[in-house]
Amino acid sequence: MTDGAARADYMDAIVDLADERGYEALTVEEIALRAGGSAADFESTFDSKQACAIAALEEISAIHLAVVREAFASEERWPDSLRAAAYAHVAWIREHPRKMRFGMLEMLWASELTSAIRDGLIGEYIAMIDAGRAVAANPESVLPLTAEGVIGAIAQVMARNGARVEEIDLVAAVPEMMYLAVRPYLGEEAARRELTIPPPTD
Amino acid sequence: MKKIPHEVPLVPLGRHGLAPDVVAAHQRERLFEATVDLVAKRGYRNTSIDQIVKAARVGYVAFYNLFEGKEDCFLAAFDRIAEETAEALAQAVAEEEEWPRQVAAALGCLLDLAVAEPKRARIALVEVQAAGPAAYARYEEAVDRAVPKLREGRALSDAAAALSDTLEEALLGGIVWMIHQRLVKGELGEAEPLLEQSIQIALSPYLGDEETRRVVDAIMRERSGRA
Repeated sequence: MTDGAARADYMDAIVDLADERGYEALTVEEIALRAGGSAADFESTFDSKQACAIAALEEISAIHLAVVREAFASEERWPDSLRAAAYAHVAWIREHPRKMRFGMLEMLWASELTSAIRDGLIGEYIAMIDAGRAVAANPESVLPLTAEGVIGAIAQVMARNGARVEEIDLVAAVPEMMYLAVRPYLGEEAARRELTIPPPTD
Repeated sequence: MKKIPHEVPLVPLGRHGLAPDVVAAHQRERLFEATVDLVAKRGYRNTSIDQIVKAARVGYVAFYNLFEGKEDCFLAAFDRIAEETAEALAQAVAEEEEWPRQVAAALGCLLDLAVAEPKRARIALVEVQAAGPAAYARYEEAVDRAVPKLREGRALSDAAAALSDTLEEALLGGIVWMIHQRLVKGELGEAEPLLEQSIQIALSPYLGDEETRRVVDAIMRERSGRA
């Protein structure tokens, strides 16, 4: 095939190639070649390499968020809902390490628009964490930026481990993430309980 | 902390009799100022070598004698800001005796610097994350310098000592993230609101909520008294 690859093929190609060689180094020609299309067809589908990357990032973010939201909604009580979301988050990352690296690492320095997409996703996670305010014994004592601090802590751990996500046990990191998230809302005892709750078996 | 003059004088044009190393130091200084100013305003990706050399009033030959390219010039600026910030934090820590106050003093110093020098803060915490893998690695190294000081808190609590090794990285990541977000949105007007939250994040796993609250309240009162 020399022409007419699907839009999704180009987005898959840019994610895979960015993981192999870094986004900056990629050319439209090699993305088109990997997708089984041509540069001319690529340019009739996307205005630029960056437009393709942004489309890929938007799709990855939307799919990932839908998975995490569904898990969050599957439990009635917080922090059970947050724990379910956290395990869904790491399960998705383990299944799609290249997509995770594309979103968290490669696109970190792509453009202001990609930063905005990432910030939107993070805003959703902040809301899931800050839902703990509703069940906190003393919500007034939970400082306003608590959830933001927690998400920053988790993002730091994820960004550092992103490059070797296939080698490390991200599932084992969930109890610690839950400890950090639960502590400001429900206190030390509830947070420590998170360290002892095993991961879901299914 | 050494204060860098914002207006770096140009060396005289023509025959000036200045030693080459003096000229190079002046050029390096002007390139530093121009890089910080332009990258903070326009972003790393939207800043060119052309713009930097023009703003610094330095020629291309002089630029390439000092740096390999834009990334090298940016990394030098980042390294200098990181080094000077580390010196200021060390000094703030040295003025306190107890660990909780040392941590709080370092955080207060960091936030005061970010408020006083927002362009430098933007280079060190925002643009460095947008400048590619080498810059990101330097940023992580700079943040990691604070890990040992925070880890000293484990000696105060058996419970904290049992937490995972990545606790300190995570806590620092959370604090840096909050500052980063305020800088991106241009909302870092004053240090106090973020400082209270940052001290709480840093100390509470080690001291517990009650003791942390006591320390936070005392420090915020003292700062407000000084202001």
